[in-house]
Amino acid sequence: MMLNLLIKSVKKNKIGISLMILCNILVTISQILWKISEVKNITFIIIGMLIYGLASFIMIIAFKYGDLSVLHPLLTLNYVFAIVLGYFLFKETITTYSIMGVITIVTGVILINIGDA
Amino acid sequence: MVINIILIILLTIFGAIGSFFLKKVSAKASSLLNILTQASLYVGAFFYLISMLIYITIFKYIPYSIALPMTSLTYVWSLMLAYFLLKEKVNKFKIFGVSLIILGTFFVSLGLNRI
Repeated sequence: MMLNLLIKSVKKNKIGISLMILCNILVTISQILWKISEVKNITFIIIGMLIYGLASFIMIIAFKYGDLSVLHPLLTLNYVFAIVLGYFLFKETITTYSIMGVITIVTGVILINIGDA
Repeated sequence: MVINIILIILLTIFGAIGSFFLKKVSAKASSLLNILTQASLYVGAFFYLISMLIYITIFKYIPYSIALPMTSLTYVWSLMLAYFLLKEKVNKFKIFGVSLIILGTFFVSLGLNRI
């Protein structure tokens, strides 16, 4: 029954959710650029800032398509992206705590969406 | 240390206020270009900037296992702003969801391979 609520809520907010995921992807890209720039490569830093600015713009558009209480917490999915990409791009180890954290965060996000149904 | 904790709470409040103003922009702007003419855009950006400046200044002095979950307090404040100022629906699910996010970021901080 909760699954039905989740599906109903996601359908209602699908534009906002999609835009927030796009926002997260852009934020993750800018974080990667800042990381590989190692504070030395100004070009990467500036491009990172521009992409971050674009991400903020996308977030404003996203906010038009859903409640603040539902869409804003979607930013926390950024931790999930960062951990996954950290593993594939930088060979960062995924620890048990990271997995627990990701599962807990995603569960929290799911509950928030169910709450909006 | 207490000052740092207070500053973190302050920066999360500013971050939530920033997102509140960005939500106002999205409600008022009639087009993409019109966004740039909204005062709320610059007010929101200002609050985000202050929040970021505080974070950059103090994050070196606080362990990640405290700093990271505390930054997720932002979503508690924005939930409250959404309920009181935007009249959005807030129920047990949303409150519990935000609590889980805070717990989750605590786990994530423990899983970081840094100090």
